[in-house]
Amino acid sequence: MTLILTAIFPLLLLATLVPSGFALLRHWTHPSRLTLEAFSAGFMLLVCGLVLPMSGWLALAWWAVLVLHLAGAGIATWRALTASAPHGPDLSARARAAAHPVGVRSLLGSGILWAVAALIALVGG
Amino acid sequence: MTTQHPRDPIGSASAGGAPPPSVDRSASDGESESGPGAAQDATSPHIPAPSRRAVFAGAAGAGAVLAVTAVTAGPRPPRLGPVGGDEELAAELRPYLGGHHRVSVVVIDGEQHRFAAFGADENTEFEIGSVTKTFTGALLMDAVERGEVTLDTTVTEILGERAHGSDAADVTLAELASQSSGLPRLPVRRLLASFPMIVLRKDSYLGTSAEDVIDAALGATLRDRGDYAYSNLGVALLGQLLAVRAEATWQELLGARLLDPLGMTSTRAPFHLADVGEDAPRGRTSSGLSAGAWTMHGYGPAGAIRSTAADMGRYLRSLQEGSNPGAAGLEPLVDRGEGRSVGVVWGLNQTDDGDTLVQHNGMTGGFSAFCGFNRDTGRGVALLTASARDLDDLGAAIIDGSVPL
Repeated sequence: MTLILTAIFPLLLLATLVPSGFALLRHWTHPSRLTLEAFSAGFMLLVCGLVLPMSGWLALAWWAVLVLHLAGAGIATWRALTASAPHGPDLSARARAAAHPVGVRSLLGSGILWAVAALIALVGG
Repeated sequence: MTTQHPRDPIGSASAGGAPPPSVDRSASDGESESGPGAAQDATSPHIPAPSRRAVFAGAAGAGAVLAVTAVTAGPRPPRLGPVGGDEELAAELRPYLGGHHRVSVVVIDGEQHRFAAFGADENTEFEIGSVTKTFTGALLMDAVERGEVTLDTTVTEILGERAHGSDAADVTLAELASQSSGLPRLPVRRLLASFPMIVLRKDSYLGTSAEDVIDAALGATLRDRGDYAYSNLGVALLGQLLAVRAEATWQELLGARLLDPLGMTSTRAPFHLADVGEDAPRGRTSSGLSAGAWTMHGYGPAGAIRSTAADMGRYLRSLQEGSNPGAAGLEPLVDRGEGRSVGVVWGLNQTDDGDTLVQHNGMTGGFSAFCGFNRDTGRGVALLTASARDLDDLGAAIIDGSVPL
């Protein structure tokens, strides 16, 4: 049980964030979706840091996921500045989703969730 | 002539003009770029290019979110603080203290008393967590010596009618002290209530009174009574029962019957968070985040004591010399198998060499502690750290001689 809570479960949670990070690196991403991905990844990272014991190699994994998303944000920004949004019948579902803008309500909802988690991290302890 | 922007949608601003400049059009994973005048696919509508301002706003937003996340919750590997006390002892212990930042250690070898610390001194305060339970056990043996109770005194004999009908009515003080009463580790309601406090990194036991502890124990269902099962509720109940019998609070008993006679003047168990003091040292979670102080309120007898290396050295010495009432509770009450047993709270382990190790650990939201001694060699150790990372293996290795000091 201890191994599940202190190693397996945190690792699984962090692993769920890796595809979104790689998607930022690979696909043209709309700026609003970039912000949404940051809110989502930030929220999950906050939850992991607050609820689970992140030490040793798990802490390294935490930072690796964060750096992956930072790098993805940088690459996505550069790509959005220098290339047009892709379109066409052969787009993969992932590429299509990445290129599509995100609605204000989605951004607002994700932002609020992330802000609450960040506030808890700030005032806790 | 219309100013061409590399990101202008194809076929709009460039109508009638020159084709747009070439841009990076890397194609991968099925992405395709339609050239000027290409037909739009109805299933993948053309997305208007975001403005430069929108791109920078998105980048700034994402960057800020990730930066704030890193600052607020990023795991921070701590570094050991500056060395204090016996530098040779500190050097011998340093390899075992990765992940800790503030540590105090006192090692007793017969008459010899050695102290070493990192980022602390002999009077730096630490929460000792469940090592507190040994103090409650000592109070039990003191009450036995005074004739107030016996080890076979039951819950009903202390609480009277209040306990009638409860599963725990005929549980003895010995069962509570030896973790064999069958009481759960914590009541389910307390477990659920503690989750938000864990997320906030605050005391999980805030708001519980002595009466709450007694009610929770009386309302609990016993499981596997007679077998060892660690229970914070059980030892908390033990402490509150002793308080009821003595018509005092557990804190008052602790001070009058144990701390004062043993000269442990720097040890305390504040009930209210305000009594901890703004300047009192705070610990860190295992992720390196700051943790709030624990007083544990009604569960205080199970883990509320704050102490120092100097005082824990006195505590150890008093156990070994026999001046501590808890020294009368070091015979096995419950067998755990594989050479392990439990006395009055203390864990008793037989080594392969036949030595008996007497030990107990403790942990709160931001601190960890280990206290124990070898009954045969006389080596004792108290390890206190301001980090919720245990030092149990090191503590056991010091007293069984695996770590040469």
